Amino acid sequence: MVQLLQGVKLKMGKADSWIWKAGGFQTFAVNSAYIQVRKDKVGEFSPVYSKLWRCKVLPSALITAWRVMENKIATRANLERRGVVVENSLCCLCGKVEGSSSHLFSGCDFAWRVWSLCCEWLGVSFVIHKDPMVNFLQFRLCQTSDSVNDVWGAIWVSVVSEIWKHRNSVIFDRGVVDALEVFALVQVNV
Amino acid sequence: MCEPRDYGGLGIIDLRKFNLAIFSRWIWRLGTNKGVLWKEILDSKYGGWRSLREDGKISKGSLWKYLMEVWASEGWGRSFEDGFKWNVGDGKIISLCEDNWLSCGALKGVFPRFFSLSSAKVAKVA
Repeated sequence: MVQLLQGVKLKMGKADSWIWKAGGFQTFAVNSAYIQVRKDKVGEFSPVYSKLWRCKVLPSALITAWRVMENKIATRANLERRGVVVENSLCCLCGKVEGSSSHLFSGCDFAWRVWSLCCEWLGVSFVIHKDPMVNFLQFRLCQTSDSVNDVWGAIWVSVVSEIWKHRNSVIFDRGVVDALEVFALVQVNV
Repeated sequence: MCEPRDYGGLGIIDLRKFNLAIFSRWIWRLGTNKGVLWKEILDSKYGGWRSLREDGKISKGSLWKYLMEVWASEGWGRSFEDGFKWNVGDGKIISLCEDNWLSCGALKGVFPRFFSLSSAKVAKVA
């Protein structure tokens, strides 16, 4: 204790004061306090998401892609899991397999057609992974430089969001399953 | 949803927690402002910011009531105290045993025997 006390010098004529540690301004800032309040709750930093949000696409498409990655999107399989009554849980685009999100965006024949059209257009060959997150990272890493990779990420996001929109129009607006149309929309977006 | 965007969330502000942070500014002012009327009133009526540490009856005064709630919420008061450090001046404000002014925790907790033997439990540093 004596050791601790030796390091302290009193400065006469100067009142004791507080110095806020976070934020670097020495005085209190709400923002740094907020970071401190929620500090214990923050999960793991995930580079996938920082790469996702960097893509220059419409925010609605980004959020669709985020929901796909988190498997929070309302596919028939997910609705059934949450206790919503659906007439059948088969994929509405091919009608063969359960309409889960990993199926809808990679396993489905329809998705496969869209992806292969895109690959043909871009001149690459590409294996579609069934986990959307891995899929995104692989697709993005087709090229070497970071800025080009961001463009590829953007293509990925628009493919996913167009597949999702198409799937919704098939279910709710009696649209026709048409991979070429989706592909054309992706091209327009990019 | 409230996780930051690079951590897999959408970066939406958690209002309850943000409110804690906003109210903390009042605690900060209570500790640092000088010669302002509202602080003098709160100090004389409730005994200054240190009384926030004692949980107990919540009084009716609305600002003070909120400050007590903020202090007690999820142990925030403790982290708030850890969030700033004392800049030691003439030692007339710092409480020797109860404030964390040596950045090693309050002396009361670090040297409990010293505290229980001490006759000046509420002494200031100088």
